[in-house]
Amino acid sequence: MHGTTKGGTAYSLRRRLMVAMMVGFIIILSVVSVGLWGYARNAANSTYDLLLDGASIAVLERISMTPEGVAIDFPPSALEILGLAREDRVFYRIFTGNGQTLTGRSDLPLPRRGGKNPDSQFYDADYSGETVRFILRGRQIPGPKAPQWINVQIGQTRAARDEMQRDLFSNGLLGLTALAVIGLIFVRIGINLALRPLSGIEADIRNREPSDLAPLKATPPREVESLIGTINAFMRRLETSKDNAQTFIADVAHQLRTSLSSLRGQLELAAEQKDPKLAAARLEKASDQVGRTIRLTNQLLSHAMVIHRADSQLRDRVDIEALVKTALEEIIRDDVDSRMDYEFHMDEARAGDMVVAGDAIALREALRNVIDNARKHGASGGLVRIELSDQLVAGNPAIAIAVEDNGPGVAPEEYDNVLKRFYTIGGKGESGIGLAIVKAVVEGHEGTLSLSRASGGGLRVQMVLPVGEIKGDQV
Amino acid sequence: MRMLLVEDNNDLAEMIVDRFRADGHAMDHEVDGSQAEQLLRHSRFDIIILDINLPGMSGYDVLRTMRARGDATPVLVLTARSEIDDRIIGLDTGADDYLVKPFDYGELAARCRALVRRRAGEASNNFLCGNLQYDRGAKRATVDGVDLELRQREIQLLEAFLGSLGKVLSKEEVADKIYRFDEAPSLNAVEQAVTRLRRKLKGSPLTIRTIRGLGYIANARDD
Repeated sequence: MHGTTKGGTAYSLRRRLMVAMMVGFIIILSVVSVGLWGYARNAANSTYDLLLDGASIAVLERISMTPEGVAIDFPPSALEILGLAREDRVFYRIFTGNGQTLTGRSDLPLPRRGGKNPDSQFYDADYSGETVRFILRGRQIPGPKAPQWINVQIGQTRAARDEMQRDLFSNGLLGLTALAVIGLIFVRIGINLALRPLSGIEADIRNREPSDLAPLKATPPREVESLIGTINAFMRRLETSKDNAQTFIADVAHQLRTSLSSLRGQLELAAEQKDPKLAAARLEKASDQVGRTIRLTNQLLSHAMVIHRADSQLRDRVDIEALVKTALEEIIRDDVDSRMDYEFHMDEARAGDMVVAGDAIALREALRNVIDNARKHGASGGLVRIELSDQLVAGNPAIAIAVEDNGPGVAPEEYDNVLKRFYTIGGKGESGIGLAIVKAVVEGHEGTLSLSRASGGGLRVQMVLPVGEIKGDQV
Repeated sequence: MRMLLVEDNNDLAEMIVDRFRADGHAMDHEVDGSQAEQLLRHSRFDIIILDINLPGMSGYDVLRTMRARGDATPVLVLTARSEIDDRIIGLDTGADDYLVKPFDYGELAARCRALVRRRAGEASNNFLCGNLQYDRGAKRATVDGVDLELRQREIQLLEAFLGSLGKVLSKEEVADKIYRFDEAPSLNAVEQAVTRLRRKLKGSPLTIRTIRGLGYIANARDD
């Protein structure tokens, strides 16, 4: 999956896991190789020490005391055994307990301190520019006179040992490394298996038709289940909004076509009419039809606008009282001659504080439509009552705007229908879109819209808008 | 009236110009925003009808530079629905009114008359609307030439309403306008004064609506 996540570049899960596993393996390998190095050294030493030991015993055994002194019968086999290591040089020295060299090199180094075993001890020492492994073995040799302590010191350079140690170590390490590599391969396979549902989802989405919003079919592991669930919920929302948009466009097309067809019909009739008086009457009808079409178009555009604005989630400080004032000013200006009366009620003490965070334009549109609706359906010479009050919705402050007319009212079973687009009661040549706009605006503000019977028998429309978080300036 | 139309859609402009000229108004027409702005620098109009989407310079900018120059000519903005936004709603660009396309010519004409009248109600010495005439200097209102014989209070009331045609005036605001600060205003007296004035204005195109809980709105009916 490419692209970036919010707040930085995207990282690769796979790479992260692999790096973590590699670091783990490297730590394990380092610890193990330290141990392995020591083990290989011991193994090499003990192997070659046996040879040294054997040689020293063989030499010591052939030393005897004669009346002439110490007799040394140096067994060639002893040195042959040591000669098995071809690369190595061998040094020896036989000397008495008081350090008098009988044969061999007198300058061979002695151990720095006495070993645990006074009879024999192994040690490394530098000699002739190399590290040499020595054995020092001593024995009381009984003789005709007093028994004498004789030491045999044999040294062998470390080449063969070191090679063996290196061999052991590198073979061991090779095995371990192979094991680590195989482990990493398994880890990688595991990661791929774990991530497969994700790439499956990706491929699923990538290969879809743009219009296909069906839920993802992957059966995800538990860890990814909620992600898939969220994606599917999002697709459902998308589908709903797409369906709404399609229905809306279809509705609009139908309404406008109908309106324009009848306009065309009126105009054709007028054109065919020979009698100028009748033609004028036809034109009058056509003109009314144009007026209706314009109103319808404006309502439709207004509806589209509030839906679009609901998506953009504008939240300014909106003074509802001021909004009611301007809405009334506009309605009365456009309808100067009507006998309709308006009443406004709110708690005087709350003047200037009836404020919500919202989209001023959309709310204004909604309010106009509600008041217009009440004005149209009220009794002639009737009264439209507008009331603002504070409410609590789920513990949060909200403002209720209620608009009542004193008309014939709406039957409760029709409440759901009158909120639908293009649904009109009584057919006064209206678009039937007003309350649908109101509903869209209220829903965009996460508020509620409810219809009920007004005290005077007319319709009461109540919008409850959550106050929300108010910041910014008064609009 | 001397009018200026700034509109780049030729069909619409032609229709508007024809109708207004037929109604006896002198109407100039500009297509380009910046040219309209140039023209406004040295010409006076009673009202300007201004489209927002213009070549050369947007209607908003024309309006802003006008107001910045201190030109207070009433402006009615024409807009497509998609452009209605806070700038218009707040009318903070200094537009006095707006109409959404498509509109009805009759409505455009009525809005223009209302704007010019409102400006007159605020400022002119001689307010004329249909058969109602008010002479600010002589403090005299006549309907069909007949003096309404308004009292001092009613004159102040009438001036208050003419000065805010089409706007809600709360009772308190009305009281502030018709009582001197050393008088104790009574809202009851305001109501009575409005009732009397309304009765005297009967037969004139000026209507005063009461909106309980908000106050009054005065509107001049079109004849």
